[in-house]
Amino acid sequence: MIISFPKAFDDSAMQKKIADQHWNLRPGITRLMLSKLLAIKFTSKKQFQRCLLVSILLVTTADLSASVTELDFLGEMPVVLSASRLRQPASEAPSSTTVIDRETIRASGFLEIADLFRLVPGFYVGRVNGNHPVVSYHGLTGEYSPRLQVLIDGRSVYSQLFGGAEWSDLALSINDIERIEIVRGPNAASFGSNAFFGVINIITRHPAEDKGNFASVAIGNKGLRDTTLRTSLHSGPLKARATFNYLGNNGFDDRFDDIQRRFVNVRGDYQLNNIDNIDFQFGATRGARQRGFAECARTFDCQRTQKINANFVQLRWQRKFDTASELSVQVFRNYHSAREKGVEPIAQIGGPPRLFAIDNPNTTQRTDLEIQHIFSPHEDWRVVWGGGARRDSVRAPLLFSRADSINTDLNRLFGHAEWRLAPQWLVSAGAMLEENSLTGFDVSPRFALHYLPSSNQSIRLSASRANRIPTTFTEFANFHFDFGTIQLQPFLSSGGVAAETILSREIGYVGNFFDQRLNVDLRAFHEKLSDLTTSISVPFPGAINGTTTDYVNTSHATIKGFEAQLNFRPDAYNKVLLSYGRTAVKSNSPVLERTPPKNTIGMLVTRAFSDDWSASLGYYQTSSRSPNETQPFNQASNIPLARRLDLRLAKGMQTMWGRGELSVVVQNILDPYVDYSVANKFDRRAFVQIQLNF
Amino acid sequence: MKQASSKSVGVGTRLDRRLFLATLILTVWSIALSGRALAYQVLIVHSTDTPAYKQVADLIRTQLESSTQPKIAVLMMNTATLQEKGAVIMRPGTNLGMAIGVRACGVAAALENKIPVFCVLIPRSAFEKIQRERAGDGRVLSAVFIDQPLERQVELVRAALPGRNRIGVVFGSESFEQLPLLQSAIREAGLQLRWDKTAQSDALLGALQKVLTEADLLLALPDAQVFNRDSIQGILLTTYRYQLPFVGFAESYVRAGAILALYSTPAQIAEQAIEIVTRAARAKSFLLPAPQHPKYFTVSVNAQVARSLGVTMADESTLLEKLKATEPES
Repeated sequence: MIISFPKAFDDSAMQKKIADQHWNLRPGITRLMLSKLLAIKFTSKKQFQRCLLVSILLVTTADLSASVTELDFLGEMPVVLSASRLRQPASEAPSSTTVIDRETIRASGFLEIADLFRLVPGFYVGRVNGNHPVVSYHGLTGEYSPRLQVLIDGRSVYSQLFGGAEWSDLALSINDIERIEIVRGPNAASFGSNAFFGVINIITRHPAEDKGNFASVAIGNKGLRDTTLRTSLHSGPLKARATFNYLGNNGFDDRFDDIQRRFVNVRGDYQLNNIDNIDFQFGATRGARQRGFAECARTFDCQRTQKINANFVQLRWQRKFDTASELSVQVFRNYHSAREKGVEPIAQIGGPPRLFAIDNPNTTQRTDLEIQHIFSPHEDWRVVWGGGARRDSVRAPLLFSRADSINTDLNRLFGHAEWRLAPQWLVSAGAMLEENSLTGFDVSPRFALHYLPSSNQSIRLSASRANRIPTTFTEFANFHFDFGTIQLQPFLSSGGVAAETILSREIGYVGNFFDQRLNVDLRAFHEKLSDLTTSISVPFPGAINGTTTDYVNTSHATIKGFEAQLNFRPDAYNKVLLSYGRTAVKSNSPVLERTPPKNTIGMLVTRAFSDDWSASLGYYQTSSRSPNETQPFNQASNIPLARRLDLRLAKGMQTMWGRGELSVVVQNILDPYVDYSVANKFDRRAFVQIQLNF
Repeated sequence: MKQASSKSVGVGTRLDRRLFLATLILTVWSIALSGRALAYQVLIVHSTDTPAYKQVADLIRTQLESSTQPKIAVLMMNTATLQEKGAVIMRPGTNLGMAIGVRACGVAAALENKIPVFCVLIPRSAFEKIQRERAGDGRVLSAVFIDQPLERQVELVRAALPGRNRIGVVFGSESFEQLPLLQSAIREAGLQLRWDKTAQSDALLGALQKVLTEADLLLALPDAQVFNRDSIQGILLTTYRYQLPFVGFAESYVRAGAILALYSTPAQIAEQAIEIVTRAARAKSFLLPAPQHPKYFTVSVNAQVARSLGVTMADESTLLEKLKATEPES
């Protein structure tokens, strides 16, 4: 007969039902609207409240200044510093890595991305002509540098047609670069074939870090006009930016190398929920550039204008479980089309040269899918593994004497693990397995051992093997001119070009002192290269000059050298960046031996004064070298020691619209130097630049 | 003898029996009733029915109800039910109301029945706002905040990141009122404060950069205008770009990329709440303690971020011991 009171009060279910029925009878305006919007009929107050809460959370932006509630403490946050975003400390990286950050980019005064690599030990940057830079490492380079992998936010911009990156055609603004990580040493294990001598990894700023708008105008001599405009959008979980750029330049004096180019680049990041986000990027470039010489009867390199039309789209889904593990799926497509039209004068017996019209279009497309998983099975272990598939499609009717596209397919599987087996010992090992339609199956392993004698120093021993698959041109070249009675065959590849291989061994040292104010990176390396693709002149009776150029793998070489990098930051106002590289090539081909400059020096000194003034001095020196030209007649030319001194002076200011900066840059205060080829004399360039954030 | 007294004896016996039974029932009933009346009545109100709140509420209820000396009876409901049916369902003689969360605190503080209200899992600024709104009510209002005392946060920074003497803080309109308190706490610890204030979200990154150029680390103070799901990306990325550690105020921040966070789990706050209620139930005439910061706390470290920044950090248990050692004796 004793009534148990707790049970009576636990009648919540019944009460809830009554409450719901009661609630349902009188819908308010919010409920009516929401139910129409979502096409849901709310049957209980709890359901409605949940829906309302979620809707509010979705719609709320940071501007709705809500008060702090316990949800700010108990709610979930998206993973931001994820496994892929956390940088490995330099002491633990399997190779020597040079990092060029935003501050350095700004202080250097460079307007073009390719120039930045002058600051990397062992790198050589030259200009084939005013609009065509070549960036190479450890020599062996010609007009194109096919032995470096170049990535922008994980997307390879390597062109399968001739190899290397088309630096002038990239839809990327130097102002949008967060930092560039240059891996010095083969790294096919992580980056695939063509990461032969090293990898250039360009990382753009995350759209969440862009705020407002940005404008930059640079005007200088040699017809330099460079205008950039950027706008950003932050709307709840969506962060995006769009950048527009126009560049005009007359290049070298006495050369036919003007360029006019514009591009647009959009990057966005959408946070789906706490662990998923989608990163998308697309860009388009349109331009025209001049190339060739007036004197071209023998060289087939006549004056012509090349029209560029390029675009790319990239999509990446990332699932960041926590700061140690991440899964990502990435897909991208690069498209590049270049079309050049010109005239070729062909000498005639007993008469002036006849002019023949040349039309040389080429199109390259790269489509790629990659899946990558980073995780840490134990706190002493870090594992990265994944796979991908790629198709390169090249179409160049004149270069290959065929109308269809030539496809190169590549499938890959990679894995890499790092193990801290003791507090002072770190072991890392990885391999890439690749199968491609040109050269078949290949394995590229890598191994590194670190010894950390103290928390600020590390000694590294590493060995790695990489390969480089032939470019479509070296494999399929069939460059043929039919002028009726005159037949020319500048290039004819016999095919069967094998992949080049490199076996690299190195010992490295990384140390930081004085509370991270001084960073030192030293590296000594020994590289053994085999099956190097070489161009040779072979008899071809059909051609009027009797020869053609073929590609074979008859060269081999040994490259030894030493690189040093110093980063000194004594206080917040001064900064010194010093890089030195020494490279020596021994080869069965005397041409290859002369290709790298023996010594390269890059130095950048920056000083910030009071009142927002800052100045920087850049000194770049490369010793003599000669190009690895496919054209036999160019091989003899020796390019002497080149010295260059750049100066930049800048004043920051607060304007009524926002923060701005006015700067003056003079490139090459010293005497003119020969840049890449005897036809190019780099004298003085100067420009004024105004930048404004508004 | 048999025939003479049978009628009167029969009536008297039935009445006696009924009376006895009635007295028996009444006695038992009143004992039962008085047993109920002796129990300390607590009303727990939680903000919504989402698992987090229910978990805390259930934890508190189970613990309180299991107490035998004194006996505590718990009545639990969410704010919706309280608002609609509170006056009806609430028993007369409820001794104490406990509110979990900001919404529940607001609703409980607005009840007609002027029972003392004790709020938990509520940020200090939100509680003080409710306190100001209900100033003239004549109700006893107290709380256990969810945020940590500033002195403890500063002490953690000093213990975990020695040598980093300049603490950077970005204030929003709400957290700005803590500036003087923070300044004195930092000064006492022998450190320096580098701060800036932001009023709008698009000025946030600018204020942040200004602070980061002069500070050795960034300390986050709860402010929905500054730190929220949408702004945290830009804040963590920028702070990381400056290679500076970010110290957060919740466990979710460590997962997002903060090197360190000091916080109290709901279970820890519940433990403190249970202690206070049990003490209240024991005392005859009892005043709730003044609003206080959490007594029990946790430290979380993100080892990957520490490694990437090149910061050697003591492990979580060592830091916890260091902090506990410097706590004032309660």
